[in-house]
Formats: sequence, structure tokens, C-alpha cells
Amino acid sequence: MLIIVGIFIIVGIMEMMTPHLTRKTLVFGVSIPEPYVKHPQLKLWKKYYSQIIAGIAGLFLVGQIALFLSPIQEEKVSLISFILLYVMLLLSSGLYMSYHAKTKKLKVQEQWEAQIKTVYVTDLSIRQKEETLSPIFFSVPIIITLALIAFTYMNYESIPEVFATHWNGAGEVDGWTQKSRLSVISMPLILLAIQISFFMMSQGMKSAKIQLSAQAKEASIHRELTQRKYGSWYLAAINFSMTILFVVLHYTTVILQDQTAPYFFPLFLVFNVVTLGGLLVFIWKLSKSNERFDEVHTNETAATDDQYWKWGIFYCNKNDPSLLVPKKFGIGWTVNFANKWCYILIAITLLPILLVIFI
Amino acid sequence: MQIQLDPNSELQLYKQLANQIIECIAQGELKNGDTLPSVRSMATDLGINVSTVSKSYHELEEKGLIELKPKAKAVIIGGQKRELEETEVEKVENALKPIMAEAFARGLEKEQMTSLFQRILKQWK
Repeated sequence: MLIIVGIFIIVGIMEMMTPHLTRKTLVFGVSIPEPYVKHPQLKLWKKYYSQIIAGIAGLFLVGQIALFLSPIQEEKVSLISFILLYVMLLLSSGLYMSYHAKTKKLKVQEQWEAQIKTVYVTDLSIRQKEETLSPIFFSVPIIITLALIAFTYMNYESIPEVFATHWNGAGEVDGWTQKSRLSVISMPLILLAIQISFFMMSQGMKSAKIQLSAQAKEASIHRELTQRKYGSWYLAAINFSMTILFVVLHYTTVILQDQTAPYFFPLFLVFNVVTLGGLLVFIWKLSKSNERFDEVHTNETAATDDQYWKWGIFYCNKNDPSLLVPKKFGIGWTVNFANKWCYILIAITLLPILLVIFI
Repeated sequence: MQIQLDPNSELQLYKQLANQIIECIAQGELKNGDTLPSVRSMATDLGINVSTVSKSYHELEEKGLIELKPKAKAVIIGGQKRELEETEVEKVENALKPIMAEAFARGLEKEQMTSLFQRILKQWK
């Protein structure tokens, strides 16, 4: 129960903060010309968005707690909780869309584009200053997993005919699987798929486009570099903690045949702490490096890429060679749908889910 | 090594880009052997057309300042100290002459022109 309530609180806070975490030149997925970043209407809308989200999240949290207190069966409760969470996310997406449309309209109505001067800016040295982690950090986990698969097959004879593959909230085994050549490596395969997608993402971050602002060049360089550096560190941290968790889980249950080792739960906890704590550190670092636009001297602004975005969410630019692009709303990355590799990345990401369903 | 292109300038974008890269080489910020971003990633970073960047890279290649290699790499080959060939010196002279003549015809003093020359040269090490 505590975990689910925690998820609601975290998701709610994240959603609330989102408009304030993006670059100042991006408001609800719309590029704002630099002379207008301090427009009072935009500030107001960001505030309203956060307040409405806070209201919705609060309401759902109360509903969730009421659900726990009601005499509904436990299995149904978790299902309803998930539905509640999705409805909450859906509502906030709807709110985003409405503010996206409003911002776009304001930009046209007040004719911002007619009053500004677009310039094209970049820095030739920026890619040399970049500090993303080298591909080795993302290859090592893959090698570990391959070794684990090989090791599993070497010990194939000694694996029992059925082994544990699912645990309930209390840590008791409630799912068993028949031994087969595929089923014994299903867990390492899931791990491998995630690791490969992480590898692709780390490479994508490195080559993703770097958009500088015309009036806060140094600050935008700093922000872009920070996002890449800590983004790749965060990805590597999740990667390693997840690898340790999966390897231990697989080794203990399949090879050692111990389904209730006391260290499962602490390990799981460590993984969650790394994932969540890392995210908080990442957000903190990013918000510290945000451009401030304290002084806006001219009517210059950097070129926008709005024409390649749909609703400020989907990016498709066939001239852009990179796989990833920084999100327009919120923090993190999204794929370039014009890059063929993105479909492979999406397929790999979906693979574990398919494996879980069909095996 | 910042690049800023102005679409309202009378100078075409590709020319502006080429000029600014040349200036980076002259100032020693771009050294022999450094690589420029690929045509496509340079175009996306800047937010301009791929063909514009390509045109500017080809001009730099013609001038013998960069070498375009397979896999979309552009390597700087200018900037090092070497003996210039007679024809190259002549080329520079031919390019410079009309600009200086224009300035002179407009009434710029010879001393002013020399000091201007020195001021520009001082920017480059």
C-alpha cells in the first residue's frame, strides 16, 4: 500500500514540476522566441497547470487511500489502482494538450514571429567538451548477461523441471515455470534487451542535436552538456543496479534453487533507491543549469524546430541523423521517428513485455 | 568557436558559415586534424538546410582548408605553417587587390589601411 501511495505522490509531484523543468524557451512544447520567455501569460499558465495537476493528484490520492480502507478484495484493489494512475496520467496529458494549443495560439495572435530576428547559432567545440560515458560502460553489462546465459546452459542439467518466476508482494513464490531451453534464459533475455536499448540510448544521447539559444549561449551550452553528462551517468547507474538485481535473482533461483533468499528485498530496494534518487539528482543538476535569461538585450532568437514536432511530443526530422532528441516538454529524451533505428529501439523496449506475457 | 549566422545579412548563409569556420582556423581555435561536425548534424544543430552546410563545406574543400572524408567527416587541413606555392600567393593577391582598391578609391589613407591590416592580423596568432 505504501508503495502505491508513494507512486501516486511521486508521479503527481513530477507532473506538477514538468513545465518548470524544461528550458525557458520551451513552454508546453512550443518554442518561445527568446525576447518573450518572460511573458507574464506564460508564467501564469505554468502556475495554473501546476495547481490543476496538484488538485487532480490530491483527489486521486484521496481516492486511492479510500480504496485501501474499503472492503474491496486485494487483487481488485491493485487493478483499480493501476487504472486510477492511468486516468490521472491521461487527465494531465489532456491538460497539457489544451495548454499546448493555447500557447501556440498566443504566439500567433501576438505575432511574436514578426517581431523577432531569427539567427542560426552553434558552437564547433561543444562536442569535444562533452562528457558522456564511453560505450564501455554500457557494453560491460551486456557481456555479463551473455556470460550468465552461457553459464545457465552449462548447468542446464541440474536445473529442476519447474522453477520460480513470480513473487507476490509478501515475497512468496506464486508463479512457476516449466524448464525449457528458452524459459531458463527468459530473465537474462529480458535483461539483455533492456541493456541493448540502454546502449543505443547512450549512443543516441551523444549524437543528439545541440540547440543553443542566441542570447544565453554560454548558459545553453552548459545546460546541454549537463543534460548529456548526467543523463548518461543516470542511465549507467540504472543499468548496473538492474544488472546486479537480475543476475542475483536469476543465479539464486535457477542455479542455487533458492526461491526465498532474504537478500531479494534489500536488493530490490537498492534498485528503486538508485532509480528514484538518481532521477532526483538528475533533475536537481538540470534545473541548476537552466538558462535564466536575466538580460534580454535584442530581439534575436535561435531558430526553432517546431515544424518537426507534432503536438510538441513526437519528433520526426529526416534531416536529423541522430536517434534521440531532448524532449520539448519535460526532461529526458525522445526518439526521432525519421531514424530507422528508433523502431528497433521501440521493439527492443517492448520485447520484455511480450516475453513476460507469452512465456 | 561560436557560429552565428544571420539570414537578413546580404551575405548568403553558406558564405557566412564558411567565413566563420575560416576565421576559427585563422584564430587557431580549429587546428590541423580537428574534425568538423558532419554535414547533417551541423545542419540540425544550426537549424538550417543540409544543402547549405554542404555547399559551405565544399567551398572550404575547394579552398584546400578541409578534407571531406567518407562517413561524412570533414577534417581541417589548413592552419599549419608551411611554404605557400607561388600560385597561392598570387591568388590571395588577386582576391585582396579589388577590396583594397575599392577602399583606396573611397578615400581611405594608406596609413589607415596598414593599421587596419595590423589590427586584423593581431586577432590571429
